[in-house]
Amino acid sequence: MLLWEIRKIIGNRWNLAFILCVVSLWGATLYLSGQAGSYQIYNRTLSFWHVLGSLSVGFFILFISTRIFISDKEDQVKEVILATRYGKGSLLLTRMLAVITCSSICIATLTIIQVFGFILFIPNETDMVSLPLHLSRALLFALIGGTLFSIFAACVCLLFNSQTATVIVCGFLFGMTYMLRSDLLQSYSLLWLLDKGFFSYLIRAKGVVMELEWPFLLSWYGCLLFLLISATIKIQARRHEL
Amino acid sequence: MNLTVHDITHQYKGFYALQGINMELTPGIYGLLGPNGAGKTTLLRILVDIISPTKGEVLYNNREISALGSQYRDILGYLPQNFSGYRNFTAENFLMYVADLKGLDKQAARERVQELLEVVGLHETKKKKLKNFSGGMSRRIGIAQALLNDPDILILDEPTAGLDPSERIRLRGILSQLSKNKIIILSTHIVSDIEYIADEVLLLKEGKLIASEKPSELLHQLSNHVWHIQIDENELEHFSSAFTISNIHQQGTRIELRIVSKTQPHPNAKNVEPRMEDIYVSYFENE
Repeated sequence: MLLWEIRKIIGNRWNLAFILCVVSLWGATLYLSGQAGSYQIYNRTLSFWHVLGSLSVGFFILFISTRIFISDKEDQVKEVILATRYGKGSLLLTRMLAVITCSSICIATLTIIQVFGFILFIPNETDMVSLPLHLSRALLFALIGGTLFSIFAACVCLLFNSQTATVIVCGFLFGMTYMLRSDLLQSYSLLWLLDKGFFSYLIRAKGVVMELEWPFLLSWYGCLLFLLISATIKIQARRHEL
Repeated sequence: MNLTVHDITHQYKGFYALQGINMELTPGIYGLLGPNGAGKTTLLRILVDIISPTKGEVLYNNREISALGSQYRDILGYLPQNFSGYRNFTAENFLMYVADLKGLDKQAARERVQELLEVVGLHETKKKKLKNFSGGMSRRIGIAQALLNDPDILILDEPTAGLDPSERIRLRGILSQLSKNKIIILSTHIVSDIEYIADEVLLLKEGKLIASEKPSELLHQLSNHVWHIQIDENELEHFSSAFTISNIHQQGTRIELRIVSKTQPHPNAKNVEPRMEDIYVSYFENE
């Protein structure tokens, strides 16, 4: 079942356009950075997840992977699926796993694009010793953030039963971090929570440092997902879909 | 094997879609007839356990179907009224996907899918994507997916909608063959389908089961009550307001009428054999 669901996400016709778009933007970014010297390319590569990488992951999760939760309704197969042995709880769990797996595949693909662009544009003499360490750290945060945001978006999609609503709600919460200046925000304020509380902060990786607020943030992520998953289970059970 | 519907009532925001439905279904073909909004689809959804009734219960071999859960869904095949299938899947892949959800093992699923593609006449187009399928082809894929697990209970909501006459005849043949050890419930507006294959007809009106009879018994109720007459065009208004008309056929300047009436509507009217359409009209004439 998992393979079928992954196949549905990977087979989405937007995937190719999405990858081509990321490759073009990344290529143009590195080319323009290269005009200011190889050091700029190095810096730009380190900050890949800060804007382009994280926005790409957000786009992929909201527009491509969460579609599997809504396609049954759009393609008028929901009732057929619900009348099968694994069409209720098991399928929901499988689809959750599928969106997590696909967001990881997306992040891995973006990392390949990131590294490949760097190798293509950087002169041979540049010192690359510290790069793998930086990249692995960013990749780890992106994977964690991508996984958590996938679960978050999937639950929102199931609750609203609409991809448009999911894109609006999750897009707003995910996008706030790009509009706020973290360093000017007071810790634990509402704006601070909007900046760091909805997983884009994790995927952006560059800004993530060990801070005093981490225990609070981890508890927040845990509570947020727990409440959302509980609400999803309750609503799905009420809809007779579990 | 029996499926018992016990005192089912379903209410949507103050509106009763179903009221006090009771029936006992054993292997055979049941035709569900009723006008739009009679509650046919709601009843079928309750039988499939997609929605829960507001009141009452459905029992399969004396066990509540919701409690049986996946055990019940294992012996169930269902074709909903609105079905098209994943647009980007080929017919073969879609059936393999549903077979996987139904828990068939891979090899058995592959064989069953090929067999059913032959049965519904879609073997040649099995690699075609569902988005390129016509309405009739989508319906046939829907029928195939319902049969994948060789279900004991087969519930088909408007299975013949969009099928051409030869496809309908083929489907009737398939269902007749299957009916030996299965409970088959089909809802349709095409009355002749029910006339040919149903062992029992369930008539649903405004959420209530108003009759549950064998087609021959229903037809017997109307024997000597169906009339055929030729009239002039200017007489049509009089006959339409005075009698229940089951068919109107213009023949040049004359009109042939088929009338359902307990008394002879006109001295020239000839008594004819009743058909299922006459039954439908006599029960639902004002719908």
